[in-house]
Amino acid sequence: MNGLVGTVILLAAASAWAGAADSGRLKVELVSATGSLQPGRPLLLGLHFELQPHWHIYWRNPGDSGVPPQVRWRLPPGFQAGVLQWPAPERLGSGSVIDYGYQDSVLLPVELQTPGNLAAGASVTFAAEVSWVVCSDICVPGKAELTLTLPVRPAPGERSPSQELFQPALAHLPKPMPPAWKAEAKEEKDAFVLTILGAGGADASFFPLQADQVDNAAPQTVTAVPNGLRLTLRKSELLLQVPGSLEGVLTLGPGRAYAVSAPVRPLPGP
Amino acid sequence: MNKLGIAAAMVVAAVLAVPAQAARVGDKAPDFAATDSNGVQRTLSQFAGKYVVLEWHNNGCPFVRKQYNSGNMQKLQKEWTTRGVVWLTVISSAPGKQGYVTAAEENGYLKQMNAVPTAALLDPAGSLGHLYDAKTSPHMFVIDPAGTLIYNGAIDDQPTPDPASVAGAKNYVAQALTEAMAGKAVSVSTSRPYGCSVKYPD
Repeated sequence: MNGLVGTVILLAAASAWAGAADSGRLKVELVSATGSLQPGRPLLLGLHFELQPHWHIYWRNPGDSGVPPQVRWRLPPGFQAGVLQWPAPERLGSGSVIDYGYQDSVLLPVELQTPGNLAAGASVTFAAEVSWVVCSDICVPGKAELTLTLPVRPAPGERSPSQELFQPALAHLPKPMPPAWKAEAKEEKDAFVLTILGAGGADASFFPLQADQVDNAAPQTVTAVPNGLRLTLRKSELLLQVPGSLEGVLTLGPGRAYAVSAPVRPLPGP
Repeated sequence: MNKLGIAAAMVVAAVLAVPAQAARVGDKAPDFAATDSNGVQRTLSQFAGKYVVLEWHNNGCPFVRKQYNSGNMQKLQKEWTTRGVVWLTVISSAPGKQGYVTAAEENGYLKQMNAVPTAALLDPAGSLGHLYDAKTSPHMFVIDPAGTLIYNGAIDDQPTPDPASVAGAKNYVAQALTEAMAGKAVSVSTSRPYGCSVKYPD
C-alpha cells in the first residue's frame, strides 16, 4: 500500500518538472503594476504565486529545508531586471525542522530598467523562466515559462488588471529601520542576544538572512527592555565563526517588517 | 501499565534527544545504536578507527531523487566504501510518511537503484535523526577515525532539485573525505543542508 502511494507521488513530481505551469498545487503569473511602460522609466513587475491550502513556497533564506523560487529573465535588448524583492515570511513547520516561507499567496516584486529609445505604440514582451519547490507533507519541484506583453506609451495612466496585488505586497516588504532605532547583538555561549532600541511590540520575530547563524527551530525569547525589545536567538549548530553582524528581518506584527543589521559584540576571547 | 511505561520512556527519550547535545563539527560524534535493513544492530562505536558517512534519505524526495536517478549517490557510495569508508544511509521517515520503508522495501530499493551503502539504518521513531539534528534529505555527516565530526551539511553546493545541477557540482562529502585522508584541514566543514524536511513522527 505504502509503495503504491509512493509511486503516485513520484510520477506527479516528474510531470511537474517536465513543465506544467499550473501544477494543481500552485499557480504562478508574471504581472505588472502598470498597464503600459514608459521609455527610460523604471517598470515594476512581479511574480504572483497562488497556493493551494497547506502548500507553501520559500523565502530567500528558506530556513531548515526547501529552496527559494528562482527566476531567469529573457528580456529584449536594453532592459535590465533587478533582484527579486521578498516580503516578510512566516515561520512554517513544526518540531525540529522550521522553515521560512509563504502560504496562500505572495507577490515577489522586481524592478526593471527600461531603455529610452522605445517607440510609442510598440509593444514589448518579457519572458521569465521560473522554478520553485512547493511543499506540504511532501515537496514537488516545478518550472514554468511565463510571458507578459505591455504597450509602450509616452505617459502613464493605463491601468493594469494586477495593480491591486502590488499595494499589499509592497507594504509587506521590509522597510529600513527608522534612524532613531538602534540594533546591536551580543554573543553568549549558545545564543545571540539581539537588542533593538526604539522598537516595541510583543509579537516580535527575527528572520535571519544567512542560513548558518541562528537555530531556526529554537523558540525566540522576546523580552521588553526600557525603550525597546530584546530577542534571544539560539546559535545554529552550523555556525563556526562569530559573524561581524546579524542581518535579517524583524517583524512586529502584520505589515510591520524592518531590515535589521546588528553588529555583534563577541564573547571575550579565551 | 506496560503500555504506559513504554509511552513514558518514549517521552523521556524524546525530551533527551531534542536539546542541543546534537552534532557539532569538531566535537565527538554521538554514539548510537540502530537496526539496519538486514536486521543487524549497528553502532557508531563498532566502526571506531574508520571514516563514517551518514546520509539522511527519503526515496520520494526530489532532492534525493536528483542524486539517485543520476547515479551520483551510488557512485559516491561505491568509491568511498571501496576506500574503506563506512557509509550508512539513514531513513528517519515515520510510518505513513513519505520515504518510510519496511526492511524488505528498502532492500528492494537498494537493489533496484544499485545502491551500495555499508548498511541502511531504519529509524522510524526518528531518534537517530534527532540525535544528529538531521534537518533534510539528503543531510550528510562525516566522522573521522577518531570519532570526531568533521563535516555537517549539504551533499553539494547546488541547492536545487534540478538533475542538470549534478554535473559540475562541488561535492562537500567527497571533498571532506579527500582532504581529511590527505591529512589536511577540511576546507568546508559546515554548510546549509538543502532538501526536503525529514519526515519525523508528529
